[in-house]
Amino acid sequence: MSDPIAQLIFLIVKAILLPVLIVLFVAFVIYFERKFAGFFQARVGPTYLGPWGSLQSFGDIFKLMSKEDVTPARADKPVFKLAPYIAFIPAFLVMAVLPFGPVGGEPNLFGYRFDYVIANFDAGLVLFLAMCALGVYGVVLAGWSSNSNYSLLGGLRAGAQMISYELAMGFSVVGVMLMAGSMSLVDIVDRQAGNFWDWYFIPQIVGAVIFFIASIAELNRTPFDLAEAEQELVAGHLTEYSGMRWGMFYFAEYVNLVVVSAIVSTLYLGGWRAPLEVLDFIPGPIWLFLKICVLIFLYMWIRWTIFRYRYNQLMSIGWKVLLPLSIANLAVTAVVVSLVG
Amino acid sequence: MTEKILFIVFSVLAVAGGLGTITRKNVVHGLLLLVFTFLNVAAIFFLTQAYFLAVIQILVYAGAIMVLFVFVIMLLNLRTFEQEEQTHRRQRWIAAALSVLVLVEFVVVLAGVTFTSVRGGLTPETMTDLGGGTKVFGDALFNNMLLPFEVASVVLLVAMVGAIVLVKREKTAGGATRAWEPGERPTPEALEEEV
Amino acid sequence: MQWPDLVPVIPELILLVAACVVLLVEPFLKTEDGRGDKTAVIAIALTGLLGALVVSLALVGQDRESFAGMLVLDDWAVFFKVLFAIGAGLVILMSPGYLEAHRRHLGEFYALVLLAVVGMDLMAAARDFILLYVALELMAISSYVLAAFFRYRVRSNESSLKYFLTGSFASAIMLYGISLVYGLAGATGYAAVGQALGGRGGSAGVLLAVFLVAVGLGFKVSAAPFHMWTPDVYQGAPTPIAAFFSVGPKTAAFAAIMAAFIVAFPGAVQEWGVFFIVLSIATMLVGNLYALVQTNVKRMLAYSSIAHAGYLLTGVGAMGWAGNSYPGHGVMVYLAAYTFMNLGAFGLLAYLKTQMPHSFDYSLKQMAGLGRRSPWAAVLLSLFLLSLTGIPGTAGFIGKFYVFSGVVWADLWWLAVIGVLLSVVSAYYYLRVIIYMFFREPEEEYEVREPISGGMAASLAVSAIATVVIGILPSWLWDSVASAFNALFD
Repeated sequence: MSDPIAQLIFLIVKAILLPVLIVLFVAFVIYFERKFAGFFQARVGPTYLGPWGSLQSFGDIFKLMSKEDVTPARADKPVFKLAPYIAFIPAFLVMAVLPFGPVGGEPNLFGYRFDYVIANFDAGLVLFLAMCALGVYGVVLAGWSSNSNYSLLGGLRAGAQMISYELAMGFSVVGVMLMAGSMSLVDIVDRQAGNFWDWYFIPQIVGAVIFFIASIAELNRTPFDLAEAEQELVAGHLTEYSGMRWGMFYFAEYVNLVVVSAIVSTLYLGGWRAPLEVLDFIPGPIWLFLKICVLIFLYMWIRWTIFRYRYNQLMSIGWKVLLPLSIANLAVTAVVVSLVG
Repeated sequence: MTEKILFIVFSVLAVAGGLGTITRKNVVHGLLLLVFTFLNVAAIFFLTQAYFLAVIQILVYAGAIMVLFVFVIMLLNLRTFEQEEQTHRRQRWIAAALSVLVLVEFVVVLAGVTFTSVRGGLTPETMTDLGGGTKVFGDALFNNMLLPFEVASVVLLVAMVGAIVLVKREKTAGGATRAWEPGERPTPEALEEEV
Repeated sequence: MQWPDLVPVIPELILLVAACVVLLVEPFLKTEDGRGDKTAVIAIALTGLLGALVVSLALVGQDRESFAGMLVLDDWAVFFKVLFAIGAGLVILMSPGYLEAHRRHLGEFYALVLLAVVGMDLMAAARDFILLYVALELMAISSYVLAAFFRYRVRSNESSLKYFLTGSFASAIMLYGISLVYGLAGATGYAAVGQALGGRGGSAGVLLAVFLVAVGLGFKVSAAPFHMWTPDVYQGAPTPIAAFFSVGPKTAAFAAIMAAFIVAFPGAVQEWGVFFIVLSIATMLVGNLYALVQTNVKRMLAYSSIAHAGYLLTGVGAMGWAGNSYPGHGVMVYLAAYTFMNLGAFGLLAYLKTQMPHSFDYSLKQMAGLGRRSPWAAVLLSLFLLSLTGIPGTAGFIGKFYVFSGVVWADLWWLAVIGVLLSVVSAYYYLRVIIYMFFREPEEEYEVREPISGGMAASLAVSAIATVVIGILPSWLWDSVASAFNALFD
């Protein structure tokens, strides 16, 4: 078997395995979210299905699939049906450029070189931003096509919020780009080689915090879940959705959560690298997985602890605090990088 | 060969999307087809290994700009053009005939043209040696193309100033906004006046 | 990274800084009534233009290029930079009173004018299609906003929308042409394109590219049949801005046409020469004939500006026909002369509108009796109109003389005859205004509140003096034009 063919086989394996693993993981993320919610609110959460209720998500999937899929009579049907997919697909595309282990170097698997990334792509970081931008469509179109006021308001809120926070997010990411001298996620992880004090969250602490906050808004999670504020908008853009279409939105939200956690760990927390060089014997994917778990816990902690902001507060945080801060961070980083070399 | 087939597929889809954009009566459908066209153009950029350009195409056109567009359309609630009265009905046929004529002319002329290769000796291998397509692109942008790049930033400044001039409401002493300039008479006759 | 040579763009940098300072200072000048005192803003804008003017003049005789050959600094560029700075200065001087009268006096107005001038300067100095396009967009977008400056006025909205739609369509056509040029030549610099295409002469592909670029720029100079937007846009735009449109973007587009076509498409000179000759005949006919039937003076001036674009295009066409830059000398002289006389004519309309902000509708009827009501205004307007007609002793005559002699030099005497004949036709509609002003009794009484004063007076005085001086002593202008052309073709 020649090397190109081996690479092709590896590619197919990776392209199939990675989404499947993430989907499986997401099922448990949903379970943990409910469990944590119970814990934070002094309840027990799901308990019936499987040990400690751990198979709850699978039960939910079957329930959703067997439910009637209602399409409102005056909805814009093609768009209404398309919107869940538009919300769903961009999140998966980002995984293609995400390194989950070492890339390049010596043959490491059956005498062939196995790269722990689907596509080593020199503009991977921009691809992430582009997919964030595309993800907005799912929400906005869902809101519009439902032909319901709650949905439209929810969709518009979500859209406005996401494009506002995308700016701060983009600017804070540029700091990392400048320090790494590359937009490839593989290169960015490579530049963070060493111990945990070599990771970018220390020099880029401002950028990291901004990115984290903005990502909460991108994910539409509390305290920035204005789009679905149930006291005001029923369920925002999801109001008219039911059955599996609703399930797809719900699922996409958690896939996004996993992907964004992976991006945060890649950009600021050394990606798949061990926190101390002596721990390098543990494989990279495991470290990445642990970091993702910690970040997901952080997101859940915030979600069940902090109150929702009012819409004008949300907008002024985005435009008047995060955006100027991120631009200042970018300016300082640029000056320092050009002086230090 | 594969590339050629993919190129044909994406081009056909892009053109189809473009045609869909201008023929849909529903504005939002039209805009979505435009996004579809942009994505296909991005795919063609991918095929030519201009990865950065491809991603930027998605980020800027399909993402940012079109979201704003969709927003405006939704807020204006322009559901369809169907209710709009069609004016210049007869001109339509003349316009169609002329368009076809121009199209034929362009196809005939451009079919006989040999385009100069503008690669400047860049191949996938040399690109990798130079540090990847993104780096080559950046070098070109910040060296040879520096001035247009900077002027483009001034264009954006003008666009911002213009947007503020055209839409910002003025505050009255009480803090409420009003749609009229101080002292401008809001009578219809005044609005029709010569300026 | 190599630091580019910034000397060629010092005038633009000054203008840019002035525009930004205007934007930043204005919010701090708010007075009690929320309107603000704009004197400081106007002073900053004028200082910026004066600075650009002085620096440009100090850079006469230089010959350097910068930004990888995209931009040059030579007498050609300096000539246009000086012209644009003076033109914009005159527009800014005539604006404050007019804007006050319309109760929309904002600092952004001046900033946008300055930024448009930056775009125009770069268009004249560009030696690369990409820079040309970006500079053109900078100028155009500023213009769209300025046209809609009175945003609640129906006419202003109409003006801006028409300008925006046709303008962006023209830009798209031009951009298509540029992309074909790039595909054919593998370069975007004028000189490199000229080298690559020189041997391919008038092949169909090259002609298509040249045609598309010419159409795009033809829109900007309002050449027929791409002129339809002109009357509506000028009529609905604030009058000082209409004045600005009629001289600024048009001159910049002519500068770009001459530089780009001669340097980049030398193999197809005959073909684009013929194209511009045909355009010029159509433009002169349309401009002059439609102007005859206008009863609205502002609209009449808009058609007259189309007609003048036609006269100018004869010179451009002759350049291509003869394959020689000599007829272009006349075009540049004409552009300089036209700047002053047209600004003066529009400026006077702005003055009249300022005096009667609500009742004046620019109709010929209301011009009646102006000679008695405000003799100075009537005399000045007559001077500008006579100059536009091309009466000897005025700048207009000199411009037409040089353009048409260049056309005759290119063995196109019949084209010159058409031009002269149509100039005679134009006398009818220009002189009609003068007749109304001095020999017709007004149908109702109009009050004139105050005489011409302040910035308006300065602006009109400069225009009038320049019109007369160019008319009597044209040799210095001719010399500077000659040195500009030498710079382009050395």
